[in-house]
Amino acid sequence: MLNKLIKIAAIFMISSTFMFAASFNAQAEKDRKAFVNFFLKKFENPVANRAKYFPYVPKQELERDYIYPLKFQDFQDGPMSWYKPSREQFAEINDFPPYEIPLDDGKELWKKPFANGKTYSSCFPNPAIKQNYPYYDIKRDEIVTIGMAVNECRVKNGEKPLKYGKGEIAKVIAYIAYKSRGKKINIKIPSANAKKAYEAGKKLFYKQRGYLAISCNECHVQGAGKRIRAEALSPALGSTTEMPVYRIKWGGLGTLQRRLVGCIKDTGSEKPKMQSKPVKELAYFLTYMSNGMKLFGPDTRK
Amino acid sequence: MKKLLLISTITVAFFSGCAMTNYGTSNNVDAAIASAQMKYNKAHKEMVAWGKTKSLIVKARALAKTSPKKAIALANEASYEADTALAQSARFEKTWRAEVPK
Repeated sequence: MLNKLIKIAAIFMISSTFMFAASFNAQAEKDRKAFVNFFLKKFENPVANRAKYFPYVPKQELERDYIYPLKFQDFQDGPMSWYKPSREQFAEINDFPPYEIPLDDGKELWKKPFANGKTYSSCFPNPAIKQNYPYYDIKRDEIVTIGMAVNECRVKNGEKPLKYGKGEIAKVIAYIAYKSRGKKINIKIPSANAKKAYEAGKKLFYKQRGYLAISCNECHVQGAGKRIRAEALSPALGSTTEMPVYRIKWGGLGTLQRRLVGCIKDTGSEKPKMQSKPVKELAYFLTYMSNGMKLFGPDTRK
Repeated sequence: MKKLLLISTITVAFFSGCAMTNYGTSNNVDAAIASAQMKYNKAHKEMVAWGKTKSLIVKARALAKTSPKKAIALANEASYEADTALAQSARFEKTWRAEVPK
């Protein structure tokens, strides 16, 4: 009898956990599906849908320079997914991918023992983990990013944490990303506070800001598939799959947060700090939007 | 004679008016900077401050003693930016949800 009761209680606890998890996820899933559909429809046939999505792009340009229809996974290539001139340049650049040398450095750093003789492998036995980051840690009640995880591993092994955004940390993350290639992004929203963090990130993404009064959405959702001068605007869908990226502008590798902070600054807003709560929330939301997409980092961008 | 009296009255009134207006004095500079700082702090806390506001206040502080008029102008500009950022944020708070694809 007691055994039966314990079994029933256990089943109830497990099923209620799943039920609550699903409820935390419900709005986010609705958002994600609408987000993905928006991009699929937008790039289904830009020539036919010109009036709705590309009213200011000349028809000739749509016919000549646009690649379509795009499928879900195609969006991993950023502006190269839809814009022929960018794709041609990208193909030339990637004959000798500029991220290869920093990626090799990352591999060396991964294997290089800390002062205590251990390596990063002591914290991450399998480096193919990037698909799960950033994740919401219920115990710590905060978002944990891949950069934080790398630095926490260093501190745990008596090393100093690395500076976020570029340099050594970007190289180590590049190695993790490389080993995670092909894995599908799998971000979860496991609690009420995780849901709050997701909603905060969503708001930061859609709300206009800065003296230019623009939002991430205006350039990378509504504006995706258009140009600012000669630059093709990348779609937000899939934008976290290729991170960290070697940006020609940077002349080196940079992490997702470096890019996000730079983008926020470009709106004319005060530049937030990397790993600050709002930036982590934005990364959490943005990565969730690409759930199910295969990783392909590190990669090259202009 | 009347004309002379009128002119002298206007002249005296003008200069005494200028003297009474303490524009550019240290009190005014401090008040302008303090006001700008307070508004900036609010905008910063709400994560909506503009990129240059803080540096305008820093510049205003640096010029407070040597060039108070410039310092006030910079502090006022910073105040304007912070006010606008907060007003803009309040306005977009009501509209951002309409931007989410459905």
